[in-house]
Amino acid sequence: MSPSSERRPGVLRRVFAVMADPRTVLANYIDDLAWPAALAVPALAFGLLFLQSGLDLERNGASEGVAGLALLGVLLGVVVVPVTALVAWILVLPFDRSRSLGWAVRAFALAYSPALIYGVCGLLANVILGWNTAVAFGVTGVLWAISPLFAALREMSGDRRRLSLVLATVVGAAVLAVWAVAVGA
Amino acid sequence: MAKSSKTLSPASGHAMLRMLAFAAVGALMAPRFAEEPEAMVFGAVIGAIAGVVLLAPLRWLLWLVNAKVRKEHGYSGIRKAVGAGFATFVPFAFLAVVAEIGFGWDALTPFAMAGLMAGAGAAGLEVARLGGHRILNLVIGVACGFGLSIVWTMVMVMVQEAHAFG
Repeated sequence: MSPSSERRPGVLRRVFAVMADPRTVLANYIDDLAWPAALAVPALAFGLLFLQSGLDLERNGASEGVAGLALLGVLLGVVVVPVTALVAWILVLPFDRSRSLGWAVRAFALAYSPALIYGVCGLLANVILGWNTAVAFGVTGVLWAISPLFAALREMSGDRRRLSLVLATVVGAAVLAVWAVAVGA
Repeated sequence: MAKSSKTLSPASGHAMLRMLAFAAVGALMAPRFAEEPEAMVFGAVIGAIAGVVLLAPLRWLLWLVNAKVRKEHGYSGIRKAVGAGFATFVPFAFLAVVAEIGFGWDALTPFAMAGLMAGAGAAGLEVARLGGHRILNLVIGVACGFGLSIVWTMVMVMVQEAHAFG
């Protein structure tokens, strides 16, 4: 079987695989990932995070407009992730140029797969069990994205681990700060 | 000035970063035990020691099940791989500091638990990259991370109960 005819895993399978073994998925299964599919991951992940935040606020009597917050989350997912990927890509350019900007954006987008999985689980717990889940599931999901981000940065920087650690930490802190400011946490 | 011949290897760099990360988590945990300011220093020391002690069972288990890696790379290869993988814990610890001190959240437990599981899983995968079985090492890593996070939760619950009844 030629490499071109090799069966590629679907987007959903890649989303779950990123959580288990991010480096293998990011190294091998990013190039053929369509832009809309890639950006749908952070859009949905952030949308679910902000939706849970809105539901929590409404339950605690501090209504902020649940639908508006969810839409803001989708928008931030589509905007913030490519911007952080762009900044990280520029910062690692002096060290390694083997990965394109397009690859970086798609890898950063797919890195939020764990946040998407946690977001779905958190929304179910929020709606069915009535729990406050924005921090327990939402923020935990965003934290789990650090590991794939670290893997993506290692790929982009020619396996410079300390640089990748620092950048993954900064990106994680920036995303948490954006969420905290947006929902007033 | 003569340049020092001693330079930090990647492995020692990871060890120092990891130790600082565990020390930071220990320092953040300390005020839950005691309110005295010096408790944070004590907590940082205990955290740094715990970071060394907690990795030992993970290293030992991965050494036990990876005969091929053991033969080709020895214990030091597995030790370095586990250290490199567990470097993933560092961002979680830093973000815990930002969340607790910067945002004033009470979020140490979810941050530490996620960091322990991510670090242990990454350690298993790093050993797999040396020639071990991917799924087996990942499962051992994640299981160890889960065990570590359970231990963490139990300690936190005991601390809270001790404060409630103390």
